[in-house]
Amino acid sequence: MKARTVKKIILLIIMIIVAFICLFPFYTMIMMSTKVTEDIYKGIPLWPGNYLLENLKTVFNAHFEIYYKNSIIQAVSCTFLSLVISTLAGYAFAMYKFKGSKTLFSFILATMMIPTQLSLVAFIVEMRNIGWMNTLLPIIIPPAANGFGVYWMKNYIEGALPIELMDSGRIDGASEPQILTRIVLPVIKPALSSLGLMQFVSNWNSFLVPLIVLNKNEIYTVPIGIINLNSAYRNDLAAKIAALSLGTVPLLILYILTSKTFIKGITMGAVKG
Amino acid sequence: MAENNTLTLKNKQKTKLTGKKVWPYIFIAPFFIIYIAFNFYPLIDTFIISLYSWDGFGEKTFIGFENYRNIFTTDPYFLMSIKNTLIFMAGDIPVVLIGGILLAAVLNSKSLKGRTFFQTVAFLPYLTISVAIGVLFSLLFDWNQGTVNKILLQLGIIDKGINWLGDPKLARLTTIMMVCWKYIGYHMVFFNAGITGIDTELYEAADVDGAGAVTKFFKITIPLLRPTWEFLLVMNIIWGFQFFDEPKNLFSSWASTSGGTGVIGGPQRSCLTAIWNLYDTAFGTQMKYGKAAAEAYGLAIFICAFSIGTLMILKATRHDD
Repeated sequence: MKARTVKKIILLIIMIIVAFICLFPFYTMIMMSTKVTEDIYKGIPLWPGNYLLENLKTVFNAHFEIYYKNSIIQAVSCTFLSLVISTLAGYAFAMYKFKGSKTLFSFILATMMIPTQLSLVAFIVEMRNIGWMNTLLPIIIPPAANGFGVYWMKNYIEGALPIELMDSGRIDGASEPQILTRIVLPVIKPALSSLGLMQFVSNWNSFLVPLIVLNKNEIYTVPIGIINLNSAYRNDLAAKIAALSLGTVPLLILYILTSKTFIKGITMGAVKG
Repeated sequence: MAENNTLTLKNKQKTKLTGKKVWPYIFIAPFFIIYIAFNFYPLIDTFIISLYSWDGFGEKTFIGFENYRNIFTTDPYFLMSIKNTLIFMAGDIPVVLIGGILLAAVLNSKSLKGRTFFQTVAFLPYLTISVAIGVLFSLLFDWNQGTVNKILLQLGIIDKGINWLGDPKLARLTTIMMVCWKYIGYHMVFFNAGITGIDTELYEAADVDGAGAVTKFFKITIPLLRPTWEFLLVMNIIWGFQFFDEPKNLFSSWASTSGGTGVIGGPQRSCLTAIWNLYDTAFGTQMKYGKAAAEAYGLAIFICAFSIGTLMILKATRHDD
């Protein structure tokens, strides 16, 4: 009895320390957003100040809503497109036997090993040649073909979907796309949710490519907008930190909305390796 | 083509089968079209560019493998950037994997309350916009004003502020801590999902045999989580070589109110990662497209060696299937 209680307390203490470390920088960011710049470095920022609204005003005076709009357009469309492409391909590799499927799937696994950054130089030249500079297209279309996504959906579909289900659909006279949308899609919602969240986070964070292709204020996404706040508001550190907090809010909302199915998707998907 | 004939003949069964055979190709087509147009083609083109001296806009001059000779022999930064990247990987991968698995084990213990809360909190760093992570750590670890030094001073652990971001070794340490902070909760969530999938009867049987928590961890949890940690290990090696956003923002001048330009690669370029170096060569302070292209292929050699090496070791140590 006593040993149990001790164990309970030790585990709780470990987790509280971990929670503290995880939360601390995050908490600091929120607290600093509520202060006047001069106060940020005064002591340890434990308590909120009363300057949050002013800081937000400053940020929106720099037209942060434009960056928000661009980022939402970019991250939502890229995530959607990538889910469609990954589901189609993952479904094909999981459920059909077709000529060359093994070789083609090995190719997809190989694409996961080759980071897109390796082709960066020629990619930028290509973007210039097809007139995609200063548009959101380079961060919507190319990243939508994601080997990891295909791999993820294939794994999940193999584990979650019995072939018989498809066959029963065929006997009922459903066409192949109908089987996919009516029978398969409802079953793989958790996988879509977990992959969707991971893709959205990575799209929202997209940094290297937009850093090079976006050179106009009207087309900046949130990360690029944030780093460029520097030129206009060099001295207003608190406002800049408020912008960082604002940039994180959509990811938090999305996680709260999807967390249940997200965990389920990971539980059923990744475990099979 | 022969199949088309049979198709037009009569056999309904055959028609259906042919239709079935076409669909998988249609389903995988979007991936391959986009991948080839925007990744594969530029990858090949990058190799061609690597054989030229080019500033990205003006005349190209063919110089053969001169760029490669340059980065592997005279250029001081390419091999250094690879070394830095490997140091970061060696520092953070064991921590996030082992730490993630231990935390997941603790999280799954029956004696722990508030599981959902801890899971969410540990996942928060992953959900923080990556630009913010670099900036936040540069504020927290600031030499004079940073919160970390202030806490250490107040606790009396140190009597003079530590120059976290100014000393090459400490700058690397800070960078590694930053990565661990961001990803440990993410790993915990994956391992936790894996542990949930383990049959509880195994643990109960072990209890009957009188096995302790440590034995159960090594004999049941670790082997049965193998698919999960193999997957995460390989992904970490792939991600590790792409490391760029966070160190770039950690050493930018963004958070300093006094101005001044950011330092490329941190103090003495000790935190210059491979991708940062590539970026800087073509799009940062220099405009050497040919050289950057060669750096991409030089980096590819290391990526292939490490990925294939890891996969082979994993295969060799796998006991049953």
